[in-house]
Amino acid sequence: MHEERSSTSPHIQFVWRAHVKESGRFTDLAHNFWVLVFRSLHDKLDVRLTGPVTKSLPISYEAGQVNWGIVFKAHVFIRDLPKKDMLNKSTTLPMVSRDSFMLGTHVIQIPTYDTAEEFVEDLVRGGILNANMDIAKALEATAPAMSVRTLQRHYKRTTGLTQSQSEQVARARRAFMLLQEGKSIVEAAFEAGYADQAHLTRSLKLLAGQTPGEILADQQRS
Amino acid sequence: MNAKRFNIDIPQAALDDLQDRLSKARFPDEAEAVAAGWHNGTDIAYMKELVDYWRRKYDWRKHEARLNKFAQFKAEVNGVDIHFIHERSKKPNAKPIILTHGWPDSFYRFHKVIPLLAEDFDIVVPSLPGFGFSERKAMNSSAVADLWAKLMTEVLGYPLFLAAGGDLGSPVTKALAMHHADVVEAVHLTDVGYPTGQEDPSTLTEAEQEFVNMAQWWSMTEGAYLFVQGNKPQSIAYGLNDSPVGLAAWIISFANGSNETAVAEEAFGGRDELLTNIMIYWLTETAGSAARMHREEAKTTYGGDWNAGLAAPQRSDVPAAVALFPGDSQFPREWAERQGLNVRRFTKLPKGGHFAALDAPEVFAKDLRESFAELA
Repeated sequence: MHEERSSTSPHIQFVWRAHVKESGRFTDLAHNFWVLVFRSLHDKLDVRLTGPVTKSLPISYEAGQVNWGIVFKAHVFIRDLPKKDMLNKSTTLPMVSRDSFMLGTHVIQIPTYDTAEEFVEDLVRGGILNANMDIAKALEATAPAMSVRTLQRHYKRTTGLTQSQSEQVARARRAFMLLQEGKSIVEAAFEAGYADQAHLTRSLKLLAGQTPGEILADQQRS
Repeated sequence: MNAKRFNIDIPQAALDDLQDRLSKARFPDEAEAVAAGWHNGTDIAYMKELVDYWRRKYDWRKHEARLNKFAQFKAEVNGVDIHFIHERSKKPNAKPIILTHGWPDSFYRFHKVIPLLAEDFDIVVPSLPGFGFSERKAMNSSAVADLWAKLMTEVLGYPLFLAAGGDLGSPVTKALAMHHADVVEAVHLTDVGYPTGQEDPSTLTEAEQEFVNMAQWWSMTEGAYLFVQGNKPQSIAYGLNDSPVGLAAWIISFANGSNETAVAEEAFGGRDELLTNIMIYWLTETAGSAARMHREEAKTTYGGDWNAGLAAPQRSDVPAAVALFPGDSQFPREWAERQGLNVRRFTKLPKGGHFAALDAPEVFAKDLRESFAELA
């Protein structure tokens, strides 16, 4: 079982939860945001934090696990934890008690699927999470009022990626969705804004771990 | 498409014929030429001395034997016979690099860096179509890139590869990044292209404007070969293919640039190296077909309606490293980005010129190694 919900928080892309019936692996797509995942197995909880990812990342899960997570927006950053240091990395955060963990120097209570918003609100109020609204604008492709150099610097600090890396990730995610919707490779390449099919192939091999042909074949099988 | 082993083995008759021509060389008038030095082109006193050395001291067989120490092959790719060096690293899973030369150099451009790089990479150094021991068929850089992609993936069986080049090797490598992003992992360039005359000056940064001014100045004072070979390569081919002295003077003139002393030897890493490079043109009779590549490039750029203007360059996602050598033209990073490259590394090196792989091989090899460690 896997479900997702959107959020009223401006800092959250979506919240998800899953009940794992069978152990397995899946390949996560490249992305430019923080992901916080809570996992419980046999009543034991742990917390994983994943930084921005510029290549496909294999993730394994175990039968019996109940997992939930918060996917942040790309303009959100964690104070004292530079995203660039967490590029392509995932780390298990230290547990303090059965249901609280350490984020930097702060002890934080694990939220539930339904209390993600209050959890994030508390972190923002406590100054542990920060949001760069200029970068939020840049991500939405509305120009913020600062010089290109300054924007580039802030962008890198906030998202951990350069703007061009971030754009490549966004394009690849879009193309991946289009192929999953059953669009042809030519259509997906065009709609996601690739110069040609070779660029689409390159990008998906790198960022999703599959060629467009393989993604299409998967889509047709399922 | 199978590659066959190839060894250079020039018939003795060709070497005897060269001796004969050199001994009968008819030099141009001297009085004013001596006074002009290098101002009007290759210096006459230098040429006379070089031809004397070429006849009496230079030993082709010695250099031929050195070249044959490299594992060389020929393969037909897209119907064109291609000559290439293929040195495999002893390391398993070493990444392959294809290195592309330009004019007036040859595959010989990379002879010093192959041993420096072959420890960590599989090295492929082809002769451009129309050059050296490849078929005498001139093609534009985009068609060459298509051929290279096929050589690397289908003939040699590499699913992914790295590419580097300078001079004409630069547009070939750029075309690999633009049109073959699915198989090209990253690229390294020592120059990235020159103004076409179609740039909108209002969009150039100050540093770009300075480079464009310099490049225009350069083309009007030093760029004669580009005009001749880009417009009427056949007209110069008769002389270049018939007179070894004429060929040498033409090549040296542009390898020497605006310098008023004989720096061409230095640029090629020595007098013997300069002559070996000239011999590769002479003995294979490729001065004409090599010159035609400039014509093919010019046709690609300016072949359309003069009134319609040029198409904007395509953009590439392939990570690009740009190496700027102090003896070559200096352009800013944004000029490289303007060419459609995904510039991820822009390095100013301490030593070396337009043929850095020849005159600063260690610096070139180090930058290439660091670039590909960072980008691929």
